[in-house]
Amino acid sequence: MALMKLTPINLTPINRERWNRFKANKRGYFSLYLFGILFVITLFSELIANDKPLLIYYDSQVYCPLITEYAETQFGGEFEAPADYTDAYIIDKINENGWMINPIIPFSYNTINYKLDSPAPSAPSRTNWLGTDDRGRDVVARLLYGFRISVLFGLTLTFFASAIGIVAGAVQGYYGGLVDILGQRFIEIWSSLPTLFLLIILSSVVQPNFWWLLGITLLFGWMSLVGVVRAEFLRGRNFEYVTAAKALGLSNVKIIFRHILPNAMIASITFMPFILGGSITTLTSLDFLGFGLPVGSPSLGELLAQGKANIQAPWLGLSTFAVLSIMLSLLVFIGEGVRDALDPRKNY
Amino acid sequence: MHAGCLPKKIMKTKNMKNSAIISVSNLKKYFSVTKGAFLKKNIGQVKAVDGVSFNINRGETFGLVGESGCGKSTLANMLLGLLEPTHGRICFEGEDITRFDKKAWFHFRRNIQAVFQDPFRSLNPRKKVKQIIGEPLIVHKVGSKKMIRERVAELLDLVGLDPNSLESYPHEFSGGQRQRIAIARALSLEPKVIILDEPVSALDVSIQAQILNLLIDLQKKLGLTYLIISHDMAVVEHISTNIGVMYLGNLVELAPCETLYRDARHPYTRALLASIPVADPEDIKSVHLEGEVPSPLNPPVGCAFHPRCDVCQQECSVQPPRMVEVNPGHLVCCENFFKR
Repeated sequence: MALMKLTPINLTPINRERWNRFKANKRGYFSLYLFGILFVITLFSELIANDKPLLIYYDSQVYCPLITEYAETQFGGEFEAPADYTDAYIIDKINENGWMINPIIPFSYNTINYKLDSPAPSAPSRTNWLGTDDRGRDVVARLLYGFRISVLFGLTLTFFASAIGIVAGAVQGYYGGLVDILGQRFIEIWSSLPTLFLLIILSSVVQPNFWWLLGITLLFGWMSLVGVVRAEFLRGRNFEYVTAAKALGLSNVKIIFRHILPNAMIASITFMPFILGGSITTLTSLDFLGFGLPVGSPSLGELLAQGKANIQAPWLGLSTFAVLSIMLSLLVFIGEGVRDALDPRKNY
Repeated sequence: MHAGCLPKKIMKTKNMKNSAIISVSNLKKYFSVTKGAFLKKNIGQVKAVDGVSFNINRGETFGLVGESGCGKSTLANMLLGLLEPTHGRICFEGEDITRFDKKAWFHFRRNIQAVFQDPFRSLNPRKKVKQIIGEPLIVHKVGSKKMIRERVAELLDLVGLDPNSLESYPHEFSGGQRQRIAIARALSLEPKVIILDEPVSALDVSIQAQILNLLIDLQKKLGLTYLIISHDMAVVEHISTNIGVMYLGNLVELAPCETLYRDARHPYTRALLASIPVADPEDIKSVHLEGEVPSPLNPPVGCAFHPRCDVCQQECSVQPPRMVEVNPGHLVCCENFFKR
């Protein structure tokens, strides 16, 4: 069975048992599988939705426009300008002396379809499966790229937020005392700031790109894991094997990472799918409000905003809503599956 | 388990000079009890260890006994550098280790290692045996990966475990076997002194004897010095050459093992000895301790033991008693011993 191939090898017995428990939860496992497929597919968005051909065979030579940019003159055109593969003239020229393979969707996220039958946003048709947005860009292509950037943003944010949160929680819990008190008070104050407004203010001061946005959301998103990790370290620092490690001369850093952190990892991993979902929602809401990714980037939030502005074109709002809700539901289902699989009460 | 103290000849194994390897003088550890997070109002002091002095000679086993809460483990933690003494000196081969900085401590740790009470908690359940025993070797950068592996196998053999169990996890072993792993870990850096903090009290009685005998064998083989902490008088009797009895942070009696069991002078020691279970119920001596251990936050004035003492005199509640040497090597912290 194809599904069985996902079982990772080289697992310790307890992790294998957890994996089996995760697999036994059909909803979570299926969600992970589906989410994985969707993510892998969107990773190759350039091969699926692009205004450049995947491969050109011209004059017994192979060209790959996705990787290198070719001038029109290479295909018998007249100008030194980069070839526009949507131009009927170039298409004819290439087809005269060879062939080309086009992607399934001949539009990239920023390709404007000038040959629309109706004014943009135009309704779903055979060329634009889910219609176009108000600038004549293909909705399917934008959803594909938007899904990818959302998930990539979410994954990066989850990674950094977890790393910072785990370190902050570990330091607070391990050293305790004044470090803990000051850290906790700081987090209480920091987390009571009105995050969305600050994000909006910050994103209007700087012209945000992917990394700026990541930094700004990270500023307020690193606190979700601090609590659990700190609690685990408050417990763990009194373990006898930690005392033993101290007596052996291990440095604090080694004790934190080798001896106590593994205990906190279960709780942290359980939280991660939910953090991922939260990150995606944050990005979408910023994009929706117009303070997110730069203008022109494929983003689900921007599509939603267009859907709101163009009620007469329900394909915009509905399709984006469907993609978002499916993605977030899958993440929640995965999170629930992970949570149940890692439940320590089920171990013994 | 043979009753009685170790024969003298163990004390005289190879390269044995009868010199102090550890010398503790007037060691104190006070914990302040505070109220409030920031202002830390001092509302009292717990005198966990209050002026303890003793010597441990090379190759001997020094037993430290006393009820829970009397400061035995605090003392051990200070010797291990896990706690900083409030006052006093701990000399190791003439060097005062309380003045060591972080780096000096790191190098010094190879000399003193510890075996802790509960082998179910002192071994990280997520680590394999080779990682547990090999960790000190890696931390102190002793040899290559292959050498460490060989050394770990050798140590496992030394403590009577299968050298092939390198890849096992602690949960695959019984309590006694786990304690053997803990002992192997303590031995890995070839320390001169091992502090045994209640090494057998978490184990089954039948296993206790095995572990104690293993410790005795290792001492003979490797010329180790032990400091054993226990509240079990029988365990201490089995393994120790010298015994110190602690009560509420103070050392109340210090004597060679044999002397202590034959001729205990301090009323608290007598009560402790009387509490050892004996096979014949007819034999029970009628020394009963009245009352509870007083709170270390508010210890009695004078002799800390006087409220529970059956030979208490008037001056006991006024003046703390001095250490008196009644016989060579036999010190008692009680003014009344000769009156009886």
